[in-house]
Amino acid sequence: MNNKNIIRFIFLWLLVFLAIFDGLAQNKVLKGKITDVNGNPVTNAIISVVNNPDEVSSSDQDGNFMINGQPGQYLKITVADLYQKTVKVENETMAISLTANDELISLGYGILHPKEEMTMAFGTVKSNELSRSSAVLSANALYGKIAGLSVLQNGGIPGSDDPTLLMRASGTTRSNNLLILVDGFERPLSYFALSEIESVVLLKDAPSLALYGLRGANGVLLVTTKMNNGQTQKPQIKIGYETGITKPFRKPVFYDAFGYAKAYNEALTNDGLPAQYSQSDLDNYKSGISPYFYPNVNWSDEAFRNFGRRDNFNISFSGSNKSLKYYTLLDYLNDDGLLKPVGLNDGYSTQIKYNRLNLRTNLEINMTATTKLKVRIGGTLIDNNQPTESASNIVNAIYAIPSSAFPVRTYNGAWGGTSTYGNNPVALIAAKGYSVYRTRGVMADIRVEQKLDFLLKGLTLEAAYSNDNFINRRDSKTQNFAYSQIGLARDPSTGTVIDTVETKYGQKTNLAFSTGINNLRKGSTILGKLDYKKVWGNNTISSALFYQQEELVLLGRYNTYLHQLMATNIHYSNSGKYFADLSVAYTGTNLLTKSYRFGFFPAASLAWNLSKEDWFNDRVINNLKIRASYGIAGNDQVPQDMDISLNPNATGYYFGANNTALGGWSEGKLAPGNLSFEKSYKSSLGLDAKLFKKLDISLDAYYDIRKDILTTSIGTISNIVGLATAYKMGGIVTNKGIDAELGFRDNNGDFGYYFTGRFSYGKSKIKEMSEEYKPYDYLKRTGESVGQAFGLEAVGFFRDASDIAASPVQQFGEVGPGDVKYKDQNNDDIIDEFDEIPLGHSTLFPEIYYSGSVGIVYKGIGFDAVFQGIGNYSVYANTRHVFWPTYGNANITTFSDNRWTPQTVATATLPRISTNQSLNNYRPNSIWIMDGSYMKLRSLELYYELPKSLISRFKVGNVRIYLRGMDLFSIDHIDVVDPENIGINYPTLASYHLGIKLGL
Amino acid sequence: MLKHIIENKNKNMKIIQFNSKTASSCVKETGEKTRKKITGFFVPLMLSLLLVLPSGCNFLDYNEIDNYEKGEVFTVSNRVKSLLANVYSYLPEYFLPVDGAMRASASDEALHVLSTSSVLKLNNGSWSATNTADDVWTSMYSGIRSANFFIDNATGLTFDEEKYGSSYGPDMIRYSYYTSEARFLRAFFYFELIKRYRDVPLITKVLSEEEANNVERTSFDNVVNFIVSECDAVSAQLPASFKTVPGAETGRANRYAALALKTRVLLYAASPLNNPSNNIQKWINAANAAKAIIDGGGYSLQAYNTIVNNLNSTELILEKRYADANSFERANFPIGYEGGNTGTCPTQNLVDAYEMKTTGLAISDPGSGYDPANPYANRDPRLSATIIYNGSTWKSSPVEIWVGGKNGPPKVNATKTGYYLRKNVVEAVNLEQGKPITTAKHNGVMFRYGEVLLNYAEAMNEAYGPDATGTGILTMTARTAVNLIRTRATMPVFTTGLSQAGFRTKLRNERRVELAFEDHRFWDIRRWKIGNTTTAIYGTDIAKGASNNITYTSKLVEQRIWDDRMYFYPIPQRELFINKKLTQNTGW
Repeated sequence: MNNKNIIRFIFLWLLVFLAIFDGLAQNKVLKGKITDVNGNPVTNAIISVVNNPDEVSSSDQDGNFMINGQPGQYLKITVADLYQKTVKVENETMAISLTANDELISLGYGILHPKEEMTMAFGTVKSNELSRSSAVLSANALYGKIAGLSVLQNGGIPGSDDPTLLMRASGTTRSNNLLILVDGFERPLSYFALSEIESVVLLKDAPSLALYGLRGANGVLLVTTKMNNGQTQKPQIKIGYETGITKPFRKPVFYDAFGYAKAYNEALTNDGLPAQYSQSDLDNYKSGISPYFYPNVNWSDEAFRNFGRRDNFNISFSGSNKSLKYYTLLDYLNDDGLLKPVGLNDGYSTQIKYNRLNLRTNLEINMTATTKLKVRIGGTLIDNNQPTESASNIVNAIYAIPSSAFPVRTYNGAWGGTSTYGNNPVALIAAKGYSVYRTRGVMADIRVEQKLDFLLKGLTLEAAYSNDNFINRRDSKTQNFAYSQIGLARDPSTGTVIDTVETKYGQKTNLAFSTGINNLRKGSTILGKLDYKKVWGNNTISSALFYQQEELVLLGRYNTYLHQLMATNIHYSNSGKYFADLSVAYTGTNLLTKSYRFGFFPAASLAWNLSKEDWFNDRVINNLKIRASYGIAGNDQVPQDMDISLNPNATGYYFGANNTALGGWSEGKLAPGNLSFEKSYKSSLGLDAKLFKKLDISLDAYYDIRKDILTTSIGTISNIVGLATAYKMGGIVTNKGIDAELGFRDNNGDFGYYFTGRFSYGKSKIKEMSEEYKPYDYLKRTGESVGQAFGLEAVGFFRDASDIAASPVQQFGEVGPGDVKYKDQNNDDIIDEFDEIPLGHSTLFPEIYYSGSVGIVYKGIGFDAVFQGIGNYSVYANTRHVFWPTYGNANITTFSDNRWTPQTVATATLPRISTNQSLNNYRPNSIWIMDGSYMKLRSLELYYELPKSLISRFKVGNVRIYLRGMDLFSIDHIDVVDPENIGINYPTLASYHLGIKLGL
Repeated sequence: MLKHIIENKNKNMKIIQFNSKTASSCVKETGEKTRKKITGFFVPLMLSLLLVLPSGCNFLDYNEIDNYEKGEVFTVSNRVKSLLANVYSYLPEYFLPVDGAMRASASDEALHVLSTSSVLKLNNGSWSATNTADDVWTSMYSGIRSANFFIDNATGLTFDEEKYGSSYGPDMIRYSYYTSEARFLRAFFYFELIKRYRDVPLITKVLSEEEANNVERTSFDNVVNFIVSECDAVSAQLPASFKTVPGAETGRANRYAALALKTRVLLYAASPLNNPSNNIQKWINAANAAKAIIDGGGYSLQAYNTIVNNLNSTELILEKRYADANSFERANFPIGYEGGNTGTCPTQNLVDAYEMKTTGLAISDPGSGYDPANPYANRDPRLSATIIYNGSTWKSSPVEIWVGGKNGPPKVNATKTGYYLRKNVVEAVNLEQGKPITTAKHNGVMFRYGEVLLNYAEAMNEAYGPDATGTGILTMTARTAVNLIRTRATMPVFTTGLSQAGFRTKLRNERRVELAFEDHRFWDIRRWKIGNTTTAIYGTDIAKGASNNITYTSKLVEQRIWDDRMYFYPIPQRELFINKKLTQNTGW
């Protein structure tokens, strides 16, 4: 960053204020009372006279205040970082009521704007709503809570199920990761307990995202931890305890031994091979007469217990006085997984256990009348116990091994197994040792605000510094187990059983210790900021100019991220009707080469509150604001190893009498050109309205054009070049859609109810991607959504040899009756890759994401329910054992019930099964590219808030008891497994919780 | 140079430290001095933070790439040596070149047991320009680029910085051959290309992306001329053997490797596929090239069953080398032996090509002495060295290939032809659980003396007939050359008086037997233009009767698809899409 740019920046910023000055007049004593949304008095609100820093006051227990001032001046009412309202003094006595529109919305960097004045598109959720979730990882509490934020579930392993977070479908063919900042600094959300979080804000459009420069294009999620809001001076203690059980949301149902043996015979018959299981084998499997030689094991039942257990306890202390506000929290969580048996070994368990302790202390200290110090310190201690064998390997074994393969243990007590299946799932859990992953982390930041009114009225200087350190260390104790295959020896001439044979495999070993650093994370950020606020006439301006540099270092090479940023946000409002924002950032990254690492990101937005106009009739529409914005944000998520000219790790060769290996060197890649960051040109239109005094509506429409997306030029460079080709900035993606939010709330005495609905639709379109030449338009990825599924269109199953002979030749190996028959898209009488068409929708990003919440309360008893769903989304159901059975010793589930057999020709929906991997059937086609949409009941809660009259004599402020279910059911098209978890993964979970919350 | 890079990195790290120090000291001081007058120091400090920090340091100049520039590579002889090692690594895969299968399984030598391998595409006619099989276009042009890059940059170096090192002398002797080795390898890669794709772009320099997108095909004959002239040029430079070069780095291409490539290329160029007018001079050229090796190479024949996987073979001219491995054994041990998966199933067609040992006659000859009830008795000894048949001993136990036998159907993946592969498979490798799993040395025979003799015999017969000598060094007759092979195999020699055509028939059979599973038959079928006669693939059904008598019944296992366009491969369609100047081979 050079001096010229910085000077230019500061000059621009100062220019804005030079013309503004104000006069002085005689002061009087003004009186007022402040009340909140519900009419309750607001204590400890800070009241100041705008442009007169000497006059500051605060409200008392009853919300009353007095201050020196005069009509025509403006008073600014601030309640912590939660509310801010600027009112014009009309009379000497005032009644000021805070509304939801006075809530402060964070743009990051310590910039807060009242909601009423927001010109930008954003979504937010507060702790009271987040606390209705029993999620272990905080991000899992966000399903459907913010319009425009897609939260996609990832598995169910305790503590490892961080979901994918996306803003508004997808803007790029490369990384869509959004930037997550906690208290203003980049930190993984998974390290925070849900009880720590006060609010989450999603920034969605250009004027807010431009402030993040080349990190903003994919959206920014701002998370703020709790701070005492100064409402009460009495120390407050809050206690929460919750206990719950978890169970698999859905498990595929595999065939039993008889069913498997029959199906395998069927597959062999389909292949023209003799059956493997004789009728007597089948009878024995069916009768279960001999559990050792004809086992029938439900591996899922053997390796999963019915319930896991989850417990959460938290306690917080907070309070405030004139010079100090404090909030301190301890949150302990334990989540035990679903594996069994885990206690067969002395001294350790092999259960998946996620055990987390979060500690937090947030302080706000008024050091002098003009100096404020904010300190936030959080710590997290995570112990994650697991069997040494990874959960995915265990689940793979559970899925892969047929019920008939072998018993859990032989009659000798040895682990069962065969030469084909050496991975007895129960032994993998119980007899391979365990690992503990220990995470230790401290997050600390300090922020000083110094008012500089003696220099310039309304000027504040702010500095912040954060330093985070995390380490994740693995301690493993690994062992191997021996297993045995038992079989029957028969007399070769008569076939009668004469003996049993035991074949031993593997060797039991002692626990071997190994350890290592799994991950490291060091983040530090420096922020320096000048704020300037000024009011004159009907005009208010609040602006910030800031510089920030960030350093994030993770484990290993190519994992250091440095960013530098200089930016300003200028917010203007006039008469409470007209609002405007201007944001400009100049930012740089270490990920790009020197001359291409900095960029300018300007953006502007306007809003107009029509309902404040005199001519507006607010009988039906009580509030109506329209917004518009345009600007640029960037994305610098590029690989760090793009420029490798000579590679010392190429393939080598062997020379000499002893065949000695000699390492190879080679050219690396073709040098990339001068690559830069992605640029997102974002436009947005919005509308906020309130109808009938109860119905809140918010609508946003957006259109983004993302340019300079990194593409590989593979498709456009001949392989004759003989070297891996370089990246180019050849991609353009557009993304357009809407976010809508609707809320309705009504109270009628003891009875209250609410409804909230959120709906997002977003569609991306690849305009350019350096795609290779495709002979038919329908083959092209360009023009489709990012992640659009492609495949062959199945038109049924071959009936017989004559049907095959009469059909186009399918070039994926031999076909027989019952194999998938495809449509010849280009009419060349050959079915090959040139017949693949777009099928369904994107497999990466749902186009539709929606949610709905309803709640009713009567005399303290109430219920809440949250539904969430996605639409226009495809999944490629290619999971072996579940969707693609029997080949290569794969297992089979009830999913395959409706497969083709000679008897089900007319009704079959799936192709025949085979012992060979049918490349004709098992490839992307319209059978396996399935509709991935679903609607899930994310949470259902029944609660009881004990009446004050009952509890007041125990000196308890409030008591809430609740019963809550999470992820209870799903309506979808997959049925056999969770549509969000179709692979061979640890099951996603449904859970039931009983909890109590006490306020003292 | 490495030191230089480390210094650079340290410099970068210093910068980071400097920054974080600035930051922390700033905050620390803030904390300490709050007790004093705050605004007094705070404002200037913060303002200086805003103004000085960003402009003062190159915070973002951080780079972890351990990137070597050309100058750092071509000044160090070991790095140049490793650059050449990488060129060698492009020598084509010998054992399992086509999707886990041998190329033999796409000829009438064998069929592959797994129906999923893409080698099947070559047999069932489903391959095409978009659905390629055995496609080496990309890997060979990558090899050619690495060779071109080496030749362009590593020629004429002096390694001045190493001059006073003790190994400088030997290093420079080794180095003196490097460019010639690279030129040989490049020529070899071109041969791999033209035998598949016929006319290919002849690239002899490092191309830019733009250039690569606009190349044109060079005719087969011109590429042949290029290969031959390169072989001539480098054979004059290369040593006769690397055993006498300092370091004794055998495995490198020596003079005779270049000449062996030359004889093979000339033989292919003289063959019916590429020589439709039967220009006799082409055969003479091939014969001359072969004779140069016979006369000067000092190679000799040794026992047939010790030729493969033997780096000390007196016959070996050039081999593809590998790290010790057992993947070929895993892929080819007969089913029924632990760890074995079957793979290459030799065909009845090949088995029938082995003559009777006593009479030297084909089994189809009534006077041969062949006994259908005991089909493997008294056969050419090379049969048992090449193929595992029913009753062969493998790992000390007899192989049972009859229906219901230990190694026979209906076991999944049992042989489909009644035979398993022995040649190239290292029997001693242990894949049994419970005992230590072992690996073995493997090397793929790229050129050996036996092939040179057969090349010579074929070229001489086509040029002069079986019993005539030619001009110049062509003092050996075709019959003499082939009888060296016959004698080594302990088979009756070819007698005089055969017609040119009769000799041709017998020689082709001899070549098929001698070079079985050494990646020749697949190409010989093409250059002899006999593709349509190799489509019916036979095996044998083996049954064990009630009285333990074994019966063999020949059966058609596979009817393959042949089309004359398959004499050459299709050029991958994507290349034609990108480069409009490229043309496709006929029929594709």
